[in-house]
Amino acid sequence: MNDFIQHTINGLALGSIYALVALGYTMVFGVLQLINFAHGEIFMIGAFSGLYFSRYALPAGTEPSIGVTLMVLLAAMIGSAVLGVIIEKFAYRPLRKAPRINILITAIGVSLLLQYGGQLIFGASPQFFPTILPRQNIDLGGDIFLDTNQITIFILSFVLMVILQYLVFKTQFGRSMRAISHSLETANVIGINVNKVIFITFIIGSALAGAAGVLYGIAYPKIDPLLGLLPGLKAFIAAVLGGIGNITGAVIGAVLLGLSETYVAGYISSTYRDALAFVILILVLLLRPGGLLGSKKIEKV
Amino acid sequence: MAFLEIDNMSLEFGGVKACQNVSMKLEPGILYGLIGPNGAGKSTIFNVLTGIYPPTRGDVRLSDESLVGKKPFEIAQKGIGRTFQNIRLFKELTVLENVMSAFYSSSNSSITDMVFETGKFHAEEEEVKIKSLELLKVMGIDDLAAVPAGGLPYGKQRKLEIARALGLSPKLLLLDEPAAGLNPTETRELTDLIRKIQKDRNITVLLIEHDMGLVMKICEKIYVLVQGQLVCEGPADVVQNDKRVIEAYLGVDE
Amino acid sequence: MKFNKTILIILLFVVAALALNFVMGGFAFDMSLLMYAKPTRWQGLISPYYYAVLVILGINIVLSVSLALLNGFTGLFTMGHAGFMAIGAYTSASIVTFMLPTAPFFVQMIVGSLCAGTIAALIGFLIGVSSLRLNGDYLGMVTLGFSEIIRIMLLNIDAVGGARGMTDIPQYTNLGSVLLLAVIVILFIKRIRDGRLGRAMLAIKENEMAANMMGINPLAIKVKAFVISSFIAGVAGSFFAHSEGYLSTQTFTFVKSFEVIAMNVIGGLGSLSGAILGAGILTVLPEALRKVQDITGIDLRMIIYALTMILIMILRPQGLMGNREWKWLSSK
Repeated sequence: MNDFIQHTINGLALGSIYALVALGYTMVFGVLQLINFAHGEIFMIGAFSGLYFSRYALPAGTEPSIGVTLMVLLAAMIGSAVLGVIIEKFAYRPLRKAPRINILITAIGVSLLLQYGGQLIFGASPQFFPTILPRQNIDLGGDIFLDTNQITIFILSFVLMVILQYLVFKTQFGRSMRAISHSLETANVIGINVNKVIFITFIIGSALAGAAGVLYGIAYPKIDPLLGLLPGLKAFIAAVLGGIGNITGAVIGAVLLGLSETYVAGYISSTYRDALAFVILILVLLLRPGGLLGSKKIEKV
Repeated sequence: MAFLEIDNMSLEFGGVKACQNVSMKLEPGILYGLIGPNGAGKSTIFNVLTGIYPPTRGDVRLSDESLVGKKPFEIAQKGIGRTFQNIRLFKELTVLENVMSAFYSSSNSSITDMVFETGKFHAEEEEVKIKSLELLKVMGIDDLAAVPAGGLPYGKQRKLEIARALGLSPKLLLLDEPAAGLNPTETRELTDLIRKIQKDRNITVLLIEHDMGLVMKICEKIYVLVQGQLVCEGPADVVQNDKRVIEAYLGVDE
Repeated sequence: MKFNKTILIILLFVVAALALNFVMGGFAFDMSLLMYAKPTRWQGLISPYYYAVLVILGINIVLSVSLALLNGFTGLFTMGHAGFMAIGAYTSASIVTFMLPTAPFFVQMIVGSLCAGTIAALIGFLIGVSSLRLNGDYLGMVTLGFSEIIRIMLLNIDAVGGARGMTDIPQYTNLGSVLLLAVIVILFIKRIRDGRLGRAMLAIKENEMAANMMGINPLAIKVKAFVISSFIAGVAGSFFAHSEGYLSTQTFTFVKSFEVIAMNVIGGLGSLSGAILGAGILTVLPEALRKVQDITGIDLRMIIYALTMILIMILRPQGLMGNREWKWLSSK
């Protein structure tokens, strides 16, 4: 039972990081019907932005604190957002009318470019993410420990998701974005500036991934340029699990995936942890392709 | 005994009644028309007949065999050919290949035959090619055999769709607005062609069309569908003078 | 008679392949052809390095062409080709290493690659039947999922080395046999494309609904395409396993699947010649770029490779060949 509570706490922290990344996948898929394979690398760049910001922009000897964490978080979000916008503008926008497989290949190309470009710039070997957050292990009794980092990760992700909910459901941008997800053509006809909305979608989605990068760095402080590959893929699976294009679904999917991965690693074997995500992916797509919160579509004849 | 029988068929999509208690009896070798205002459910009947939608209630029988629950390709193999309101050609295949594709289920050379280009493969390919060219000739587009189908002008695409459907050697041919988008000359030409094909091959044709002139001219019996229900059936003169038909058209259509 | 012509062509290529192997590999023409070729024994016209690149080129052409059957002709977007290659590689390596370690190399090659293909096709059939109802990206994702699961399962089998990788696999793959395989596979796929099966595949790709209405059973055709393609990918895996002598599951991640997709798309989706050309470019380009690395001292190779992929997609979205074919591969 104690194990179970400990795994649940760890799983929730992991799930909230997945959720931040999954949100970007699902938003971009919503507006562009594109699986943005470079999203994992945007997440990776977020982690490195945070690393370099705290290494070079902060005065030497800065003590870890919540304030510092927020600054690093903001820097990473800006770094990732800039990257996301550049990718959108130079790689995806010229292909807006091209077949989807072309955009997908481009996304894969961008992803490779960032991985290897990252190795060139940051070096291929792992670096340690600095301690930016004062860390304590709170003993909850009975061998259950609550790492304060986990609480911070959880709270920060939660706050970001609340902000996103506000943006998507309460603002003009959100309405436009949802209109585009519903039908790009209709959105065009009723005079929505589609390019602008896609642009903002990339800013928001990438910023969330950047934040996730920093939180990942806090939780697993060894980072390298290939770090985005697997978490990126898993966040994407989380988005599919929840129903791709569905924002609430992405969060639910991510938390479920985070929890089940931690349980599998804890109770069965950590080598099968990575397989679990793919098993979930296959089961969802075969049994309920729309995901948990998605709907079925009928082809019009 | 009717050759194709639609028996009290209803189709609903989540509460929306697309067809209600539709019954039709088609005899062999006759040209039928199916008319009605936009959204009356005409194409839906085609989609039920060809197995795309299973009916919610009722039955569809071809030569006394129920088609309900059969897959679309199985129904096509049983001899129901169709065209589409919004043309669905294989655009990157040539005109000839489009028609040849309809012979898939009636030919039987195996992968080994194809890979080793055996005599059987060549004989069968040759035969299919000749038959397909013949169909193109009937439709008057055999000179375009080597052109990609997507490159054909609109009117010829409609003709190609008919030729392709004929490649199945159908007993029943369903034509969904074959004259839509054609100019009067083309329409007249097509009208004659449809009648000629139907007589020469002695097949049953069910035709959806908005061009009343065409329908009244060639259809031996006409069904009128309004809001998913059949309101009238009979030869042209009966239908034209039916009160409900006139009401439906004046009341609903543009 | 046509049948004889086919056999003649293949025989011609066998002779050419043997001759090529002789000239480039520099063996004595006697027993060593029937035994096996180890890279260290070459004293021929080209260096072991170029020889190895050519072998990989041949394997990549086979992979690319087999994927073209799915992606290009049937319109099935799959992202799991690496999985079938992995199955083939590990099947063949296990059978040859554990059951036929002393057999002559041509027995190993034939038994190994046939078993590899058969097992890959069998698993391809099971995956196909369960997932080919899906379309578009969804099919891509499911196949990616299956491929990764296959990889993780192989990673957990100790008999094939687990995470350490499998070593000491007999290295009998030589340039002649790989090129012969490539030619057979290209002809095979071309003829399928030009027969009634190929027409049905193209029809499904263009408009599945209309294909249905022409009496074509889309699911059956898709499964057929899937099985054929996985068989060939399995055989390619077998040749790969016995060229390096070493297998690691890291080779077969989804990155490998993407690489094969990229070969198709860069060459021109729907063009057999394009699939070959794309395989050529994506094999030779990174190798050619090694020179750049020598000069600059930093590894720009993969960066230029990735940039090339992006630029081709933006500047020539239909791929280099479009949907045209070289004369010897055109359907007329």
